[in-house]
Amino acid sequence: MTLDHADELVAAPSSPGAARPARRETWWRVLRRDRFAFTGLLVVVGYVVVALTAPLFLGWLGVDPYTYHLDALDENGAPAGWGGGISAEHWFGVEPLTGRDLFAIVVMGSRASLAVGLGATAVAVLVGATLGVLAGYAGGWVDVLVSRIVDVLLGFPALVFMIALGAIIPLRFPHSPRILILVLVIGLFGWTSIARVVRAQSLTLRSLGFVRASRGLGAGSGHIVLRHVLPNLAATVVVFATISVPGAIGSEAALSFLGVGVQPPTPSWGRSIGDAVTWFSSDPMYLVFPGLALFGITLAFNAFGDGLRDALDPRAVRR
Amino acid sequence: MSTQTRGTAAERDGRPLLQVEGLTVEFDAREPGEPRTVAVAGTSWSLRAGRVTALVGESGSGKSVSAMAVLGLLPRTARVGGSIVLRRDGDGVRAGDDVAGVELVGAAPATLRAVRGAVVSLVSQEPMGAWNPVLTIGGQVAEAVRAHRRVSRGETREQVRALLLETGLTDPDRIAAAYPHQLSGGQLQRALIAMALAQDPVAIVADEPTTALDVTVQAGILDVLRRLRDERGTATLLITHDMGVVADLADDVVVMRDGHVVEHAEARDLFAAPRHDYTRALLDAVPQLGVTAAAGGSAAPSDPTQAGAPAPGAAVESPRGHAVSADTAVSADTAAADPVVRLDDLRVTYPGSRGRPPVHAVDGVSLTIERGQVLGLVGESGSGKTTLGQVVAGLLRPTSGRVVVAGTDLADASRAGQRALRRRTGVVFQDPASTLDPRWTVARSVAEPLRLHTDLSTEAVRARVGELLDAVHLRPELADRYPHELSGGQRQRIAIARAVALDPDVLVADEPTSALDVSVQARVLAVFRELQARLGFACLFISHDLAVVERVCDRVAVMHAGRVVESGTSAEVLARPREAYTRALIGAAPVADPERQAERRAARAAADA
Repeated sequence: MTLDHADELVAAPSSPGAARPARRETWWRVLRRDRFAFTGLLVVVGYVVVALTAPLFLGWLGVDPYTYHLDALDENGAPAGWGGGISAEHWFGVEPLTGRDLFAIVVMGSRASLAVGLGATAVAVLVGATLGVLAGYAGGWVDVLVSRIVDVLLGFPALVFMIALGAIIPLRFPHSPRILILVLVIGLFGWTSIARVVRAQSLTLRSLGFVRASRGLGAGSGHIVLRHVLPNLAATVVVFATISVPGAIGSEAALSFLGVGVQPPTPSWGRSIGDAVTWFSSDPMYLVFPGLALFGITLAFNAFGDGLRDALDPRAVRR
Repeated sequence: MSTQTRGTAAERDGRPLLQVEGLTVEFDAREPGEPRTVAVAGTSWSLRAGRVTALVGESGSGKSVSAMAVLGLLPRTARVGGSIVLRRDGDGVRAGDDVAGVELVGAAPATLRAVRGAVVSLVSQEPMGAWNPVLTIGGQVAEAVRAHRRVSRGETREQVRALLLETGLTDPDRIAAAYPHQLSGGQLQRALIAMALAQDPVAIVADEPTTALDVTVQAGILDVLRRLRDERGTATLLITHDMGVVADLADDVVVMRDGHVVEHAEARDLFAAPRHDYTRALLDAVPQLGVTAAAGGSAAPSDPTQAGAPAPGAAVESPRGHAVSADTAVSADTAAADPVVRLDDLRVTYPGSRGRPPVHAVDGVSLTIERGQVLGLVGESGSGKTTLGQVVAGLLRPTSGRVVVAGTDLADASRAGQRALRRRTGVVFQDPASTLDPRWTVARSVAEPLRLHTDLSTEAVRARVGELLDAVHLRPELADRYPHELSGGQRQRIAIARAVALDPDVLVADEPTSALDVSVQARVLAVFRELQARLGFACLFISHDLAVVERVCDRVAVMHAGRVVESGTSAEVLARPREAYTRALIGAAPVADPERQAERRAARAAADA
């Protein structure tokens, strides 16, 4: 009985596309128009492409991060010449004591650093957001349990523990890949702050009208969490993720610096920065180039994350 | 202190204390290139000693912005023009001097600071938010006492005591020693007035001073403000959207709309014979007890059998026609005989935290709602009415007692049974700001129940959303908008559309219009009544506003401290209340008519004495 009537109504005012104005902008279009964020995205993509193709790229350029160039060093082991031995052959100069090409080291080092940075962030965000939503939305003993674990982990001397784990795991499992260990260790210690923030926001969201209305309509927890809670957490999670990538790379640097991270001769920014600290007075460029690489990806990620948050939020002012 | 003499002297010479001439306030555009927002477009009015001037208007009319301009408390993005002159002899600084006074527009921050508190003082809307939670009330009032002059410790304590007493707090020592969370909203608002009086100001700006309070508490606060006017001769600028409050307190009324003054008159004249159409519309939109029913405005059908049958030619039809039919046919048969909602000795108890006794939010309530009937649940905050609504909506499990909704006992029902039940219940909440997911389009929000409970095709859902928007009188183009692009009234209508999308047997509406302006409230209530008549759902309508309840409800239940103290048909309960509590509630609600309001006040005073 109702179908005819309903069909009439479809045809008249709300036939798709016809009466409505142009389709609403997708988040991608909004992001496209935000120049700062889009540049950030391009830089991130550029870094990832370079990291993925590093051996090919370096082979094509004819440099590699393992060959010693002792001729490029002076008698003290420091790079000879201006700016840490910058030349047409060695674009970023060379590494002190070994004379290895610093450009090749930075490019090759992006593999370990990005893998650890992105991987550890992914682990941290996944664990943190899941447990945070669970604690905030479910409440009760789940909340108590998760919150206490977070408290304990936050009070933990994480770096000491990471050092210990970084030293023990390779002994127990000699063939485990170092990068994977770093990803897990850094990620599993880094989820606490995001869990706290997500928990607090979930608590607020849970009491908001649209979530209660949805529950009143008979929606299950799954529907509410996936359709209402998570999308409204997206901004927080995205920003948190982009901020923690550099943090994770920094942790990798710290661990490698302490000798339990990426093992020589595998290059990584962290290890280079760690080594460069002792050479800073005589060869500052050794610190500058890996540092710049880290700075660049950090800035790009933050710009991209900021723009993505705005693009995902329909309330943000459209420029 | 020349408190008593000042008022009379100022009244005698008849000149305004504060003269506002051609006041304009513009806000910088958020984006370069866009035009500035004009909040106040050249208004003129004045404040006189011993008189209450009310700035009335709906949200966005510029009434609060005007008041903040007087106090110099506007944000940096505001551009203020025109003139606000404060007469100097009023505060005794230059008595008898004929110099015009201090110009407040563009005044130096130091001048404004000297004026704020000492000469003009602010009583703000949210009594809870105005206090620092970690300091005692007495400490904070004392701070205000000493803000502009040096006073000894003992003298300060005496003054704080006197101020608290003056605002009707009979136990000033206990109040002074208390922290904000230990006091009620009414006590906090009184103490806030005491703080505003600390510098013995000639004028008070009261920005929606009673909006967040219950009616019985509101009456007390209005009494305090009235006494200040009469005894101290304080000039009061009252900012409110509530015509009842205006009728109760104001001497002069300035009606504002879109930054303009549309009418400026003495309260008596304005209510007796509003000259401007907008004022008339505003007054007509105010729901009044005993008026709507007499005027035949109540469209809510009282005969359940009639209401249950869909009106002929209704645009909104049940989606069940093509979703599930057998199941609903059965329930329709059973529901015709039984009440749709039956509560039996319902109790909800919240465990007390840290040694405090448990809170009995709902304490043994039994009530029924027949098919097609609208039951109004009234009571003050903390009476348990919202808790009760949550139980009926299936959002809260009762501690004990039986809840039968549409033939299903909530306690016995399986998970699937409860889910099935929820498709026959709809909910509308109070806060229009959060009732819709900010990241969902209107269409998606309205379609949510359809997607949850039916397997209609995308096209059919889209069509149904169109019908529903039409049913709540919204244009179909709104379907692709996001909530932040809509007004509060539109959002609330969308929430109603979502709640009735599945043609529910029961609708729980928890204060659906109390956050809306009166004219918007009138439209939303009209939409609600029309839908109710057409779809014939039973409804639990929760409200603190008796006049609203009278407009839409067949029956009324009055809740107090977790119990239903009185129930019956709307006409019975609201016209001839049996219980003292109901009478107090009805007596305290201000009426938008100064004459009647004065009579009621006198009657209340007599009853108290």
